[in-house]
Amino acid sequence: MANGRNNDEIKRLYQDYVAKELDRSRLLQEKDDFLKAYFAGWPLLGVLQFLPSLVLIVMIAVLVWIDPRILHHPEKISTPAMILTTREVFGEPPPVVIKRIVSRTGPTLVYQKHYEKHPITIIWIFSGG
Amino acid sequence: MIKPWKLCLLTMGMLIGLTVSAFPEDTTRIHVTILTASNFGSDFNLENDAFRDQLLNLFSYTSYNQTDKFFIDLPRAKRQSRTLPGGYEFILTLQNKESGRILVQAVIRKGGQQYVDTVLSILNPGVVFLGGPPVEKGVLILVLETGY
Amino acid sequence: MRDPDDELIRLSQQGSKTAFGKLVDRYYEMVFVLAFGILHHHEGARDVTQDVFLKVFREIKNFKGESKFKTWLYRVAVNAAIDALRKQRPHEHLDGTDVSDEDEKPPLIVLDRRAGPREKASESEMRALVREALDKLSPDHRAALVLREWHELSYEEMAHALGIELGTVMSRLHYARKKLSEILSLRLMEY
Repeated sequence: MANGRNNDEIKRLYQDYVAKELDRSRLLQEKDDFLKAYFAGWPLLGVLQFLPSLVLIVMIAVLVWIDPRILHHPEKISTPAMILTTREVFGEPPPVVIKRIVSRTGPTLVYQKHYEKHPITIIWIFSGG
Repeated sequence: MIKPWKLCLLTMGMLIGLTVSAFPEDTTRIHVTILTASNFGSDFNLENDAFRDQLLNLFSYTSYNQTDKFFIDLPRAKRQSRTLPGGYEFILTLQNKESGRILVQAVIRKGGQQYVDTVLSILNPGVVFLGGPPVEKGVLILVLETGY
Repeated sequence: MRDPDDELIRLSQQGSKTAFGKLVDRYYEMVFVLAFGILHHHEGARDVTQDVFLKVFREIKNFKGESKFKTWLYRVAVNAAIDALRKQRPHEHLDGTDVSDEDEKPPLIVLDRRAGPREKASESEMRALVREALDKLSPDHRAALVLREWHELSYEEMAHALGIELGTVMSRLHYARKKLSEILSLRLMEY
């Protein structure tokens, strides 16, 4: 009971503090300014704002057309990795299955957990082993 | 002399064509976030707040600094590599894709030394934290997210 | 779960600034007070509030509706405010969080039956005392207090907003109230 009265007192003090400390008129003015600056919608001549961006896109496209090597090309691999072992932590089927793990620098750790309804998998490499 | 409007149409057409060709069928997109974790300071500048609680609960580092983030588009059986802080190289290869899962090989290496070579079967969407390679004043943690 | 903001969210996800502006109008004060409750100063709360909405607008396409928009907004705002506070105070050791009740020693409570000191302290002095007491709390405890005592969220809503277990919510709230009460009791004895 004393605890309940104490909590009510704390709540009253806290609400009183926040209510008096808040400068509401300033807050509302800042909100309006923020809305006007960022979320006022498209002005009538809005499309013209994008002319410089359009010019830039066209320039990039022309450059790429001239020299396609500007784009990154992936290299082919000759031998994909082999599947060696499986390790399963959860029930069937687990969200992440470690088919293989190898490290030349030290031991490795695989940690899997149901964390807040979303399974999590951590693979950790310890160096200096 | 090509008229400006024709040039504009031509370049837009090329842009569309290049975009389509950059994303062939059977490509998987993985989002990678690079973090440096350390016990120096208390920076916490992750853009993805979903990681915040997970990192705080799982590790005891005081500082998590997001240094980079990017998408990697993986065509089947073609390796994609990226440079990481500390001189590391990160290589991802999509080996297979079926029944809502993807099979990827992830390699982290530096110079001639291989830090980890792992093959993962991940249910889409999924998250994997891959960490441990030391960098100056900390360690790298890579967050791999699938399902994009 | 029907979200009253569904239509505005849908339009915002299609890029409508006007629609998102309506969400800002609806929730700006809520986010501001939350940030203020953690940071305790107007400019910082304003900066965090505006950063939160800009960030949410950038990421609203990723909002899948697994929780209410308001809950998601609370969570982004709490994290942003706590991060801002940590940046301001990087080396300060804040009080421990989630302390088990069993580990704590009971506070010294002095019952003074003379004329109440609260009646003697003026209103502004009381607010200064409350501010001083709140400044001693960690960001997590400040967040718990503002969500419960001002926004009047249920414990379950707080758990969703903070991304923690229900037990942790209650433990943080209990600790924050007890700490606040201790500090105020001790300081009021000086009047």
